[in-house]
Amino acid sequence: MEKLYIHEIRPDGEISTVGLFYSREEAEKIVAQLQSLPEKSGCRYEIVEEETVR
Amino acid sequence: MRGTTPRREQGMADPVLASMVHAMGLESAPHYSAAKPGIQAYRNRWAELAKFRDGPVNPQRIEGNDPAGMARQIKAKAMELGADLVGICRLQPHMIDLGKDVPHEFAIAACVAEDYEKVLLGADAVEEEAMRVYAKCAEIATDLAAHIRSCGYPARAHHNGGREVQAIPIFYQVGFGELGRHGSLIHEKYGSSFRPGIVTTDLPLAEDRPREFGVQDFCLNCNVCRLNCPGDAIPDDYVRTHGIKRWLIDLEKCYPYSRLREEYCHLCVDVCPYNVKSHPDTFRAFLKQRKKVGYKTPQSR
Ligand code: SF4
Ligand code: SF4
Repeated sequence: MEKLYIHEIRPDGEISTVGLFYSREEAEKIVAQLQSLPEKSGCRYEIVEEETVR
Repeated sequence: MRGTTPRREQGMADPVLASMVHAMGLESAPHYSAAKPGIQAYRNRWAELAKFRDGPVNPQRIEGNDPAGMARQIKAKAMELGADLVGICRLQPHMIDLGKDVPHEFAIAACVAEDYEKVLLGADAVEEEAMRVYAKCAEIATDLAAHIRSCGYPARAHHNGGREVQAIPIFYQVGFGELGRHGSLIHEKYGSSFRPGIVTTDLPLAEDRPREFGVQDFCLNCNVCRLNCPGDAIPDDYVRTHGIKRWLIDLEKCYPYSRLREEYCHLCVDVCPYNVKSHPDTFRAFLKQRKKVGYKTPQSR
């Protein structure tokens, strides 16, 4: 199974890991839901295999 | 208030578990198919309570101008209903499931401790105790929410029968303790041997504060849960979520032991040294058993 971390990068540069997911489809669905929230509009998301942001 | 934290679905609704089960040519996870009648009865109990999570609010509202006094009363009520630990915080978006709306200002965590002595009796006894406590928490949350509604304030119970909030961020914020390497929150007296009942409400309440007493630093050097995990599912490295260290359990490695076998697995929590304070003799006897069967052996005695 694929292992993918979603990291949230906040406007001030702080990184907060959303979680560990097991398919790109699941991870992308979660990122899309997060991006639709007004309070997250300034955040960027990375879906990566590493525990840390590239 | 709309939530921002994804929830991993439980049971066969979890896509990771479903795909592993289907790859074995099965319809359901062996752990669930093998549930004994006593355990099934507890599951039925929280399912029955699902329809009483929310309800009509008494139009005659009691005075709400003393949040500290009201918090004391609510905590006393939760204890009277059978809770061992009660804490209150202001509800925040990261405590709510992603996309779910909870229209309340406060969260009350009313938790029940498990009888740690059961660890010496094996996995079935540990599981039955966990399910008993989950059912008790569902009853407490249901009754506490009904009590608050009878005082004239909206209130909703969250438990295994239905929930929109997440226990760990609430436990942290109400000051129960800190998140451990094994993925559960650690209380200084009960370790992680307690289960959640939660009520969200608009009743004005004084808030508790987070309390840190060195758990996360201790976890950096303690590897007892990792050494005992039969699936090697507990990681060395941590990530940070909202500034707090979090060790993410690898479910693909955990499930073969915790869901794809008939026997329950709760070893990571049961071997944690934070159980020693409440049950020193049992903890030592249990660790002796673990050494005898061999660390990483998927059996509890
Ligand atoms: S439940 Fe069992 S297999 Fe899963 S992380 Fe804990 S000890 Fe490991
Ligand atoms: S067993 Fe040790 S490392 Fe694991 S959660 Fe408990 S204190 Fe932390």
